[in-house]
Amino acid sequence: MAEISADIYFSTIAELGAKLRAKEFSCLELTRAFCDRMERIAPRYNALALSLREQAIRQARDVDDDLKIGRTRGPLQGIPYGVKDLLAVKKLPTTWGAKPYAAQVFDYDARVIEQLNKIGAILIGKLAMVELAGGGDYRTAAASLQGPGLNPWDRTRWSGGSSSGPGAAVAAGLVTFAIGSETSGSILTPSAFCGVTGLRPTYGLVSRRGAMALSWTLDKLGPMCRSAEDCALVLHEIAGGDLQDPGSAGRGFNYSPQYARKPADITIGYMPVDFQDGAEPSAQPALRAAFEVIKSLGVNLKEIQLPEFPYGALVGTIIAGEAGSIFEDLIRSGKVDQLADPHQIAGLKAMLDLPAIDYVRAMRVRSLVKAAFRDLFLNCDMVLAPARLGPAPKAAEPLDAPGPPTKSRGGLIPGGNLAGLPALSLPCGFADGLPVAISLLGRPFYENQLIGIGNLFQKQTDWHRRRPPVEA
Amino acid sequence: MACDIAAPPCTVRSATYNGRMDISRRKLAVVLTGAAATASAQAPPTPGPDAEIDAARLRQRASAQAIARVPLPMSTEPAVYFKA
Repeated sequence: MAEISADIYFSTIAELGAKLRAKEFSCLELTRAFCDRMERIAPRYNALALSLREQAIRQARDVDDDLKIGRTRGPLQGIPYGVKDLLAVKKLPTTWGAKPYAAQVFDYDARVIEQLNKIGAILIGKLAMVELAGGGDYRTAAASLQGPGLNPWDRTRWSGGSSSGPGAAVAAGLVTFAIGSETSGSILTPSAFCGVTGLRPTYGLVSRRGAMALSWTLDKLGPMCRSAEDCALVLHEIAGGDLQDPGSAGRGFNYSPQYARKPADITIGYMPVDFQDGAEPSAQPALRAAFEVIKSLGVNLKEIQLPEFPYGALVGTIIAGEAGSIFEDLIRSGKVDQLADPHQIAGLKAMLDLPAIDYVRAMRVRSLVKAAFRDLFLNCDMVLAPARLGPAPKAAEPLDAPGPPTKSRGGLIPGGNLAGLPALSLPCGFADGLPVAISLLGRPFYENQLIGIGNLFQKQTDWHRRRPPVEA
Repeated sequence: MACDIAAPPCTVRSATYNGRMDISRRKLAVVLTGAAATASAQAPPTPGPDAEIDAARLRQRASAQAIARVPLPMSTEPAVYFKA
């Protein structure tokens, strides 16, 4: 059997694919090695919901057969990946991270899994998540069927949520990429806290068929990877219209770096306070240094102001209206009491009392948010901001415990989600030994532009190449 | 039985676990009642399930009030469309 070195587990998609096609090892050998590693290491971070070793080995044999006869299916062929456990995998448990759904089984695969199966990507595991993607407003890292999501950089810290397993698994080299989901921050936050590159696509670009619904008008699926280019390669395969997803935009995504605009033709908006003293003190040096790197790319930088809206209240009210309806049976049946986080149980129960008029008003104000962001993007092509204002909090402390004071207003995560905009999280340094990240927010369907700047940033830096202290 | 790793090895035998208690039941009851009263006086009040739901409802109301402060032209339609 070929030797699978530690470097392999931290390779990008392109690097791993090249080695597979050069027959340095077979897909079967690679898959077995990744499954062994994931099963051994993932429990340290409570990152694994279910190993899919058997079906992964079957898929790997098929890929080896294809490669033997020279049948190639694109850059993801033979690449091991994981999915957040809110995606249906045929005839296997899909728990949504929640005890009431621990035995739930669907008879079909989620659309993104179908798409990735077709091109020979190898699904090796379902990854842990915050119960019900945290829609009931959770307050503890322990709000998950698999236990608190722990950070590979420091296991006393949270991996972020709600895509906690995907964040930890990519960071620790347990999968080459993962599919996460975001309603408001669930891709960007764990990506930032775990030091991986995460892409939240435009609303409607990736089909959500077979994914747990938390909010029909906010939910998105997206890749969490080792680099911006890897995010592009995955998005290229999973984007596309789907008549069975009512939110589908009916559009695809073609990764086209050859058509990227020159940096001098791109204007990036930013709020100065974010890169002066707006973030937590420990994160400020890394964020300032990242700002200088962006500046050195030759882009035009322009000061902007984020439109003023009660973003958190809007997202909370819209989720309450939609999740209350989605989980009405769970709440009324009393099974909601089986959830791990009492705060989330209470939040879900209270959703049934939300007046319809409050939901509709929030959705009308959301129209103003969309218009305001449209106006903002008349003056710039994208917005640069800290992905989070500080590093990952301690896993054992309440998530709403007051942290160090910050001057930045935040608001880009809920604002961007309300407007359905794409965003990219890029690791940019460390604070107290924990990853810190910047984010780029773009116009709808301008993922190529975000990825273009992300690629340039990652050519100038190696933060995305850093590895946490994972012992073998 | 849990053993503190830093402590000497556990040597408690089942026969000696509670066989030589030099305290009467009455004295024990007084001690336990006092301890319980002290504990309940010192512990921070933990909200019951109903209080948590009330608090969640209050947060919802506060959100609605914050949203209601945004000037909203009558012509503004919700950011969702029905497609026939």
